[in-house]
Amino acid sequence: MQYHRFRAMNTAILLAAEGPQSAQAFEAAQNFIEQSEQRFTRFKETSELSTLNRSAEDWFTVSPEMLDVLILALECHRATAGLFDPSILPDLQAAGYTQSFDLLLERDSDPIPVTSPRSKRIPFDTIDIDSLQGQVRLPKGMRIDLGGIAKGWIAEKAAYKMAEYSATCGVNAGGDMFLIGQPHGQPMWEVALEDPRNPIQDLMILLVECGAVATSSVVKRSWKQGDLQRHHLIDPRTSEPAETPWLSVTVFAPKAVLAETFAKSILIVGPKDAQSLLDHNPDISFIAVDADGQIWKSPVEKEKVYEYA
Amino acid sequence: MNIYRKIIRIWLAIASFIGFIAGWVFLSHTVETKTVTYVGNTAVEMPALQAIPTVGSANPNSAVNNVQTFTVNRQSQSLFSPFMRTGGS
Repeated sequence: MQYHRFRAMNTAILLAAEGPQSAQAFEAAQNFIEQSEQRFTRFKETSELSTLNRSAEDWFTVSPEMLDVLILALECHRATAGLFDPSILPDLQAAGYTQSFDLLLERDSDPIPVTSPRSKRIPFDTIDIDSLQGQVRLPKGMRIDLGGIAKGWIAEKAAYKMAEYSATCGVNAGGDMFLIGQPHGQPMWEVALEDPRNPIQDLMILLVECGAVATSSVVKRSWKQGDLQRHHLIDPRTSEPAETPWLSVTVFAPKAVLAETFAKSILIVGPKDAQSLLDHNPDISFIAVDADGQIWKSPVEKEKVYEYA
Repeated sequence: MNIYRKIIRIWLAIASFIGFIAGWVFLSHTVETKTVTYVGNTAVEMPALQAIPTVGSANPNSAVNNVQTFTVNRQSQSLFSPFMRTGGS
């Protein structure tokens, strides 16, 4: 297995591929990821997403890639009973996440101001999508953030770009990954589950077949806003950063967008309602870690989980 | 010319012998690799589930706890750590 690392989408990207054409696979995937980042980022005024957000109330012609992500986002919004909701962007900004996280971390001496509560949020399913014409219309006042789904979508698409050169390959975009094929000499892919209380330590090794793995955490992207500790996972029911007993949730799913959106949704609802979210999605399973280091998992788990002896 | 060949042969023989001894000593002091233990069969029958509350009507006291927990022994983790890691971003 050969590996290629670089940084994009404000996170570390790790590509893995086997075979003599690994270099071509890495190049194809990196080009795709960097182009996609320019399209889906909300931190650049010239990105397609920013332009779409400025076009509220007007029909806007989107690229096939943006159309695909928006349609999937709407499906995931419905599948998660509204817990995944890209229209939380104004809430995210009100919580202080107004610039890329790398820049946010540099604001130590420049505190993030506390803002007044927002007016009522407009649910994402009020968006109009004309898939035949390739056009989208956002309702007045709606602005969306695709950070909760685009990274997984990009990872999966990039993995399939790599698969044109390598039958066994994987993309790991900051913990959201898509894996194809069977690694040489191993029955399955080995994925280390990071300890959210101490990120340099691993809790266990997950043995994963082809498909997607995604982790959402309230620890990684967190910051201070006044006296409040904030993080980037907004609960659409309250429009505030979610209050959850879990520190991280890792989801296994056949599609990356499902893994990413369900990881966020399960983390938001916590142990009381997590399994109910999976009732209509039997292909999805999860592992959660709480503040005491206790590990929770869904009863239906196809993956084999190995702990260190 | 012959003398140089002999010197190189002797040097290679000595270097190989020293390398062999060093490898032997190193391996004899290495901690035995520990195996991993399968814990995937720890599933417990959970009570019947209730439907998830719809957005905007969540009642934190209305649902049952239906996921199980298990603890992890975290010894010797440096022995086995793959490249792929997941922990959120």
